[in-house]
Amino acid sequence: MRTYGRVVPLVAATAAVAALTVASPASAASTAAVTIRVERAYSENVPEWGTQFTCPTNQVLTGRSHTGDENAWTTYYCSWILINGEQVRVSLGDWTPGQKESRSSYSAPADQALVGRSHTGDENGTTRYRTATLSWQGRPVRLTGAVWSGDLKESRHTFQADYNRVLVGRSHSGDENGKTRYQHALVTFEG
Amino acid sequence: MAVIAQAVRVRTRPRGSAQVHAGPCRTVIRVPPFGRKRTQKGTEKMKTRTYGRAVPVVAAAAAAALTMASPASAATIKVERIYQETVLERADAFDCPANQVLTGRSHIGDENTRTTYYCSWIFINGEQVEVHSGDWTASQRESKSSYIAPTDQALVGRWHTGDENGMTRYRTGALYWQGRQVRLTNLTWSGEYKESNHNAQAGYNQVIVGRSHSGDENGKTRYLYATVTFTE
Repeated sequence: MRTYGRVVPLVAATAAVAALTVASPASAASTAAVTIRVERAYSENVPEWGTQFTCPTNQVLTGRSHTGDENAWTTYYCSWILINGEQVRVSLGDWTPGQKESRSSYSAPADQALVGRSHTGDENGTTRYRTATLSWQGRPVRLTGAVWSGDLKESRHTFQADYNRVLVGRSHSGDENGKTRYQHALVTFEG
Repeated sequence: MAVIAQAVRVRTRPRGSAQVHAGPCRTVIRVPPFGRKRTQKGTEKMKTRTYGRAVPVVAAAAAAALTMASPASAATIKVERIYQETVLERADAFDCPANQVLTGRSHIGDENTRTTYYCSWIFINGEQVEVHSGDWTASQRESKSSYIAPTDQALVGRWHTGDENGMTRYRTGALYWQGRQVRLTNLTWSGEYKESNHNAQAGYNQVIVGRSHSGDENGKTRYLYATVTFTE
C-alpha cells in the first residue's frame, strides 16, 4: 500500500501538469480576456433593384442605408470582426428562400450573421438573405443579446449597428414609405 | 547581467518553438513557449554564458543581433508553386484549387486569347496553410480597374468577361495556420507589364494581393505583391 502510494503522487503530478498543459490555451483565450473589435472595413453602393450583394471575405453586414424607392441606390456597410487582432473566419451559407419584401421579416439562425442581401423588383419583389457562421481559432463565435431597432422609413434611412454588434435580421412592411427594422446582436467569445 | 539574461531568453524562445512545431505531435506543443520549459532553457543558456561578466556590452549586442534575426527562424515559410491552368480570358472564371493562392498570371494577345494562372500552396514548418475564401467581389471595368484585397488576404481567383470594357472580379482568401492568422506584409507594386505579352510571377515567399490595369490589351498591368509572414 505504501509503495503504491508513493507512485500516486507522481501520477497525480504528471496528470496535473498534463491538465494544466491542456487547459492553458483555452484559458489564455477565454479568461485572459480576448479583445473583440468589430471594425467597419467596406461599403458599397448598389442599385436596390436587382442587386445581389455579399460582403467581402471575412466580413459581415453591420449597416444599410437607402434613400428613395426601389429604383434608387442602397449602401451596404460591412465589417470584420477581429479577436486579438485576428480576423474571425466568416463561412458563407446559401441564400435563403425569397420573401415578398412588402411584408418580409427575417432572422438569421442562432449565432449567424447577415452577410448578404438581394432584392429584385419593387415592394412586391423578392428579398433574400445570406448568413454566415463565425469562428476564431477553430471555436465558434457567439452572437448574443439580439434586439430589434425602432422603425425606420425605408425611403430615407441609415442604420449602423452599435459598438461590437452586427446585423442578424431585418423586417419591412409596405412600400418604400413603409417601415424597416433591423435586428442586431453582440459579438461574444466564450472560449 | 540581468540585461544579458533577458536578451538570451528572448532569443531562445523562437528557436525553441520552431523546433517544437516541427515535431510530429503538435497539439501539446503550443504550450511550451508559455510554460516553464522555455525559462529553464533560458536559464541554462544564461548559465553557460558566465563569461558574459567580462564583456557584458558585447554579449548584449550579440544577443540583440540574434534577436533581430529570430523572427525568420521562428517559423519556416515556404510558398511553392503547384498548379497552373490556362483559360479563356474573355469568359472564364478561375479559382485556385482549395488552399492555394494566386502567385502568377501570364497572358499573350487580346481578350480572345488565353490566360494562364499560377497557384501556390503555403507551408509553415512543413504544415499547410489553410485558405479561407469568400465570394466574388463586385465588378470593375477592366480598362480602369484597380483592386486591392482586404488586409491579410490574398487573391485566389479572377473572373473577366468581354474585352477591356468588360468586367473583372476577384476572389480573396484569408490564411490560417494552426488556427492562427497568417499575415501579408510589405506590399509592393510590380512595374508595368504590357497586358498583351506578359508573365508575372510573385517573388520568393510572396503572393498576389492586388492588380491594376488601364486601357485595352496594349495597356499596362501591374500586380501588388505581399510577403507571407507569421509571428508567434
